[in-house]
Amino acid sequence: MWERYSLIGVVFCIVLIILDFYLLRKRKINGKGFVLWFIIGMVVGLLFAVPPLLSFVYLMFGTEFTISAFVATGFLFFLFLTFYLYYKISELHGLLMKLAMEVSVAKYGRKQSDPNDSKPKKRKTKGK
Amino acid sequence: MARKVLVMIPAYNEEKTVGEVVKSTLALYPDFKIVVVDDGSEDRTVERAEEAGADVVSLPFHCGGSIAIQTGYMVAANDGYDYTVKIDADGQHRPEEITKLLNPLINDEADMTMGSRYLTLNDNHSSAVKEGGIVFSSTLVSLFRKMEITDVTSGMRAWSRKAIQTLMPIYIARKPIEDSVFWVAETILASKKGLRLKEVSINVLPRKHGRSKSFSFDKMLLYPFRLLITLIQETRR
Repeated sequence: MWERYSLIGVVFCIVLIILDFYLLRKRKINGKGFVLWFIIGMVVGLLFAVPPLLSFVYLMFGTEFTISAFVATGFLFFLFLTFYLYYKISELHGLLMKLAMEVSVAKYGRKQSDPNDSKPKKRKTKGK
Repeated sequence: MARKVLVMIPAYNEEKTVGEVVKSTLALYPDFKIVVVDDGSEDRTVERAEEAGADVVSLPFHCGGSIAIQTGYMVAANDGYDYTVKIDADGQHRPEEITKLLNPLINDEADMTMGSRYLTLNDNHSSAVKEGGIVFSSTLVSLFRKMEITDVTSGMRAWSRKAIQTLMPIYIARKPIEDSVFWVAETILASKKGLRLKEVSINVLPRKHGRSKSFSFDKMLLYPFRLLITLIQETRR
């Protein structure tokens, strides 16, 4: 029942789920992201472990091509890249939120110390 | 010596209610500092709050409730307030109940107080699903932390300076907590850090305008997972 690419797919999905748990534990991704990638890992893992399930996918997309090891590896690479980018975006989102907090508190502090300083000053431009 | 009290009111598009909330709070407690944390509102929330007599801290864009609350903590920590109280801008929390939250802190009975809708039999104006969620999460937190909590999701809370100084560095060091589980995470965190928690009975009024931003279908669907994840994360550390 197993195809050549089944083992690669299943191992990949196990790694993906372990990474998902690891990043959640380290608070690098949020709960929503964890649930999303956990479901993706489970579904993809199941499809690779039981290739006949893919026949539903063929039916859905109306294609008669059977999946090749090359396409499967390409798909897994694409999935991993998306996961990595999701993690990076999540990390940057956290930093952006902290920056937003610090900027607003700093602005408030400046407004408290000098109430007339609340309006943005016009920048002097050189030239014409 | 007079104690410095900060009342923080996180607000997002609450132009219809925020002015009234600020005015009624200031009328009851003229010595308290009222700070509205504007979470990137697109309406006239900032103008209404300032007209009513509050100071406004404006986030540059909509960041979410938990970030707005943490911004309030930052103001409290930077300006050295003795006590900090948080109420909602939608008018559901009654300003006259602020003293109920402050008294245990002033009497040194607790470091953090939480308003509970379920300590006494009140009409809470919540839907059955929402109430079920609150009871479910409160029961889980009570079991996990071996303490008695009846309303872990309550957003009407008060903190002593010690509580703010304990919690603030943790929030700064870690990734922001999601809005839907913020109060659950904070309650567990505070209990783990040895802060004394106390619940006081409050009444919550129905919303006069708009609808709740903390309750939607997708949030409701994901909430059990998020709650479980939060419990595991916070209890492990």
